[in-house]
Amino acid sequence: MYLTKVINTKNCMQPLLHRIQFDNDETAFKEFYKENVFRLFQFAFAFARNKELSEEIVNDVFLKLWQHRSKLNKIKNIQVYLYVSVKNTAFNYSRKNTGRKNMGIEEISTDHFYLSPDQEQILMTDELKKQIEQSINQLPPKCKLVFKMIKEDGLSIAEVAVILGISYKTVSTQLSIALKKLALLLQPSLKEHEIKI
Amino acid sequence: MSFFQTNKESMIKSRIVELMAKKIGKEASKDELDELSELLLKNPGYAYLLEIVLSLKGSRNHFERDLPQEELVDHGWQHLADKLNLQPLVDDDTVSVEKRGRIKNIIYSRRFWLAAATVAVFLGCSMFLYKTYFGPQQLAEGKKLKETHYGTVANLILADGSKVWLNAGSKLLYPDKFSGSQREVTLEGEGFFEVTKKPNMPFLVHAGKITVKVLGTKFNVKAYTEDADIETTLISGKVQVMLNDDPEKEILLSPNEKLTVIKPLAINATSAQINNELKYQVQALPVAANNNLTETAWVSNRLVLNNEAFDNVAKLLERKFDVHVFFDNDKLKDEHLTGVFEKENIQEVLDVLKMTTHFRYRIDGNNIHLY
Repeated sequence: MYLTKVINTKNCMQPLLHRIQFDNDETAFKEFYKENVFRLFQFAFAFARNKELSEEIVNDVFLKLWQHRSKLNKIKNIQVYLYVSVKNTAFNYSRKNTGRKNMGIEEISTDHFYLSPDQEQILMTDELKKQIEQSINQLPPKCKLVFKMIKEDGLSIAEVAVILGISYKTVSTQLSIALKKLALLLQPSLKEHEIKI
Repeated sequence: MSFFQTNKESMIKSRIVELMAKKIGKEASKDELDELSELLLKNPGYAYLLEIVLSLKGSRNHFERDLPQEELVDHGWQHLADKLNLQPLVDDDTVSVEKRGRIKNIIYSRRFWLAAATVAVFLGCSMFLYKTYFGPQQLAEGKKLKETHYGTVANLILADGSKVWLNAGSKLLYPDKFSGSQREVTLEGEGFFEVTKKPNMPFLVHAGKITVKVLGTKFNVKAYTEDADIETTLISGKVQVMLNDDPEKEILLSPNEKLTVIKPLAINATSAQINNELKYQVQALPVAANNNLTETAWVSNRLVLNNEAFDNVAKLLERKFDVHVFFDNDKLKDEHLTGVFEKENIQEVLDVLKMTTHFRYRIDGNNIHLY
């Protein structure tokens, strides 16, 4: 695949972060917000299940980031920091509202995951595309979330592990489960390709 | 016998899936990638599976089907901005200032931000008017402008799902809804486009003296006003480039071809003739490693130099790092440099370049002197 996801721009966040911390640059902060916020909304939504609450959660995280901007350069991985902050803030909100001590990872469910194959790269019938989507959407919640974070948010296995607070091995196992499921689904097409070659 | 065969088979398949997971999760080492390639050669069915998985992209649209992404983001920002104006900086160094009186600090912050905002708006306006390309045009109804400063790269999704990456120091003028028989945007600077296919509604990019027409494809357009030429690099699909001054001439590009259009010299009062002819040249680019094409490396935030002249490199550095480069020794401009950079800062880049090319540098704030 020629271009990995949009999130490769995480490397170019550095100049923005620099301006935010050292120049108190509100424009840079706004740009930084706009670059990252939509993904984080979706991530928050997986926990909060509510649009207004998701926005509040994410804004809380950014507000804190702005307040503590003098220590920005101490954050090693800004993406992980953002995701973890959103998750923790979401958990805090849910604790306040439901009085429950812990919201397990099992409680998260992601929205319906729409996949679009890159038509330049691979030709796929609509039928097959629907089957793949269905297959992914029927994955157990943790598995589906892992697949989504890796495919859509462009995070690495290690990053997902840190963000979700689960082990590296668990993440890579979940990913393998998703792949095996797809392999099963694609059996007939896979065989076709074997015979061709 | 067959039991062992099936067992071995399923072990191999597990290994393939394990390696594929690592590759997709960006954790595969070079050895693991090599191992995967070998295994896939022997199991082409799985190669197909990998191709499919790699080509899949999550679609953003599912979050809010009726509210577009941009509105959600703007909405969120509005709420945050309101809260921002009342927040003092939390900083160990300024604790003493805060202790003196929170109210004082808040008022100071507000005034500062008001002043900063005013300056930013003023600068934005004057720059906008100054750039004569966008000159007399007001931002028409329904049109939007996306701008990047030096040192930043931006990306956006247009109403038709097309993606645009905007390199530093660039501007994109686009409508928030595409209507009519064509999709049209205007670019100043550099942009990488991934255009959705719409056979009945071709996508047009106006970039200075050229217009690039596409049906559905990936391509890069580099049209900075200060540069002497305009470049269009096609990665996949097909584009047709039209020279505005010579509409009869249509140049068709195939993947991995690069078109360079040399802009005519500005009108020189002392020259007898005004040469208005646009000269152009199409070159085929090396097919290997698409990721390492100089022309599109910026999209994944890399800097790829392939025997580039130093003065071109200086421009790339200026845009990427938001610095000014001065050649105290003009001969350096003709030195050619090669290298691939990803996470290095400007000083690290210069240090690496110094290893193979003889020069020295001095950094003075945002200014870099080469001698």
